[in-house]
Amino acid sequence: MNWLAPFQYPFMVEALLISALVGIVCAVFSCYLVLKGWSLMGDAISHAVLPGIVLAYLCGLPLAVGAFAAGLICAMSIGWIKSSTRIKEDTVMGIVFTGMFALGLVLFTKVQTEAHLNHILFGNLLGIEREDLIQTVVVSFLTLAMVLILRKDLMLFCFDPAHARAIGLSTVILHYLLLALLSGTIVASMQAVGILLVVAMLVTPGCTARLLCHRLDRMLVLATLSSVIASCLGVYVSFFINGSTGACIVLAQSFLFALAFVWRGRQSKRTTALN
Amino acid sequence: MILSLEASSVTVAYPNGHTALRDATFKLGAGTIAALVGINGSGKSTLFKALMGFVKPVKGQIHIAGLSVEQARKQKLVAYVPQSEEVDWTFPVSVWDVVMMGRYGHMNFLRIPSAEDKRVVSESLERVGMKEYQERQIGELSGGQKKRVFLARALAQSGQIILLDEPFTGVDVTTEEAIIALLRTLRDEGRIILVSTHNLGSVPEFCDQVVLVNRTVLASGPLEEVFTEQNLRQAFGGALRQFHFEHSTIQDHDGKTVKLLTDDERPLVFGKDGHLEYKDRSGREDLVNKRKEEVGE
Amino acid sequence: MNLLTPLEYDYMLKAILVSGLIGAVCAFLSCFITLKGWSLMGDALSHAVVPGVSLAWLAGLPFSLGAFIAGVIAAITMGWLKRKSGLREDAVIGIVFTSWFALGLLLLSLFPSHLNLKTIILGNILAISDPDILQVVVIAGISILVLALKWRDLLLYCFDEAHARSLGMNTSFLHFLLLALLSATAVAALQTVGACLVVAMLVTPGATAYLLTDRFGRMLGMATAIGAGCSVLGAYLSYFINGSTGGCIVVLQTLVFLLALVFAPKHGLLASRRIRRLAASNLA
Repeated sequence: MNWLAPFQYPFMVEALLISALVGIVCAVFSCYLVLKGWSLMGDAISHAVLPGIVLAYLCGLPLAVGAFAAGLICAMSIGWIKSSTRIKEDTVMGIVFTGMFALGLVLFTKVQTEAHLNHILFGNLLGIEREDLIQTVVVSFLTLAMVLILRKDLMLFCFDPAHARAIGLSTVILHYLLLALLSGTIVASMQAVGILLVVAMLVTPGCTARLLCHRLDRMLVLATLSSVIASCLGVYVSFFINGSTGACIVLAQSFLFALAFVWRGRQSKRTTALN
Repeated sequence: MILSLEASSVTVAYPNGHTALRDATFKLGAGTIAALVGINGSGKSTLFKALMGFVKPVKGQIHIAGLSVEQARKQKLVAYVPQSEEVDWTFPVSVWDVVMMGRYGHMNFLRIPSAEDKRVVSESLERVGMKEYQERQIGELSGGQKKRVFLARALAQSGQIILLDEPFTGVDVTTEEAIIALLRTLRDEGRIILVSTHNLGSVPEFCDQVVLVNRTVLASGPLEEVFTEQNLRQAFGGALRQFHFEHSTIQDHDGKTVKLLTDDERPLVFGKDGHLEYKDRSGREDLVNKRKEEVGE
Repeated sequence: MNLLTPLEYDYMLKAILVSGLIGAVCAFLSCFITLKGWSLMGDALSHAVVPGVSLAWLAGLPFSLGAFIAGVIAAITMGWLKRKSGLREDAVIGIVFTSWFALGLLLLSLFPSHLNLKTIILGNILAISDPDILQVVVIAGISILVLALKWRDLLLYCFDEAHARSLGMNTSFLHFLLLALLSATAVAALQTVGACLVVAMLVTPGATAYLLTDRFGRMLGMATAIGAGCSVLGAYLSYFINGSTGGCIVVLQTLVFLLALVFAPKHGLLASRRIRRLAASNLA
């Protein structure tokens, strides 16, 4: 077996680069998501984009636009239903996202789209089309730039929204901005790992970094690092075992999380022994 | 600008139809420490929210230094020190980062701190005596230190009106006194400090004004006038437990000292004719003299 | 078009009846899940059962057994990891279930089983085989039996855990029982609506009933009726629109929820608007 074999295929090199890019965007964002306690919001929105994709196809719009709009609609209706009834937030999330996903499925079986359902659900990193590639790159860079520019405001919003309001920031705008960025991130990573596994990309790197450090700046760096390593490792391994690429990336993420978890456990054991 | 805080017939109703506060009226001038006293659910936190502009009164107005709440917020006049339970202490930020958050409103869009911002943060940390802890993660501090960090943030924000929500829960008595000393110096600089609390005993120790709430403002004004047994009973209703020593065994040769033990909170003690009792005479000489005159000793 | 056509087909009849049964069991359980605030646990477990399907196929065991065990292991891992890592619960749930799910996908891509990937993810009740029906019926029967015997204990546990413990109940047993029931129903619902939509069956009927009544007993009855009714009707309608059965069932449940959201007599949007207007006029 030749260890360098994957690099001889242009599609593999492309897949490695794309997955690394998506890994960076998701990792940076995952830090904020984990700190805000919105991990499962990522899950909800990622499922809810499905009807948007189908409708965008029907109207001849770029799929990303439809997905983005559907994600925002999901987030907004969750917020609205939660504030106007006595039902708990997690229940509302469950109802809204499954309702939208189911609608997407029914629409999908009625409309014959070019976009293959399997590719939307599980990603299609190895056979990514030029057009989708450009879309992913553009959305990734936009989202990443926005998050990095606003990183301090977002940190304040996650940490102490009351203070953010007291010094004149609009928390309503920040709230929806964070949701919009979340939708953008999901759209960007849809092609790589598919909407069913995006949530792993959006939660695991942040948690891994969280285990290892106590400063947000360091956390951002570590999360990015672990996510890029996991993405490349996943793509690379999937070439040899010929298994689902998205699943391999996610398992690599979990593997790094497990490593961090064990390492921290040993660290704390050592410090208690010293004390 | 003359600092003042004025609420006139403020009524706040929530979307579910619940009226949390009705016709609340009070006024505070510059250089005061005021206690906002009431039971849980009496509308203390609603009043705080209204002062910070988080809820809009359906009726009435709030003026801060003659400005509307919205304008005051633009000038970062109101600073808020949250309750300890509201803060996620595991959040990955250092003491320095938290105090720097006070400057965000003064910075440009990218929130890059200037030399001035750093100077203010460093100065604020020194004032609360937390400079040496600036690199610590906030979860690694004691209860009193945590409080002081958030006070430093309010200072860095250059907040002229500082709202503190239950500042003494989870803080031991020594730290409590240190915080009180700090609040006094802030008052002497002309700020308005509004402390929400249900810990009655600590109020006479450091407040000069009191606002009593129970779904409305029952009474407000100088401590001696407002903090009376009758008013408190009205504010707290049956929630106030009282122990009346009708024929106490205290004698002159006891040196008029009594020892009171309580598990957590400071007790509030009234003398025979309903005047406030303090635990220490020092600093209250005029009060002692006044009482002497009254009884003609 | 003849409205009775679907009932002439054997497979349609089977699909309608099995959907109704699963809908009823899930809806019964959903009352506990929504009150306990475990909605996303339901979502997580329904994804986490997937590797079990594949492993059971490889080992030659009934798929439901493998799926059930995978679900229970995932639930235990979540509890353990949360205690040990100090991370937020939602984050831990997210990590564990996605890892499990990814493992399932990888196994299915490497070793295809008798249930293909699409059936597991999206459900395919129309093609359910007789042995699988038997498995579903057995799971549903056991779940109903356990719920019927222990629903008062579970209610107390959901409402006030500390009180349940003070009464001498074994709350860790009840916790585990609820998790096991959740896994079991997730497994049963897997073939009807698929792993992605199981959570709807486990949440929506309970939440709908919660909007309509303040009594737990009535809530159980209403939720079960809504769950079973929507499932039967959804499966029936899917014949005509020739669309995904699971999708139809869940869309129907969501529609009923939306109706309740607007029109519920006491907790609906119209009712609360009326209350607000009354309060405002009282103030003025």
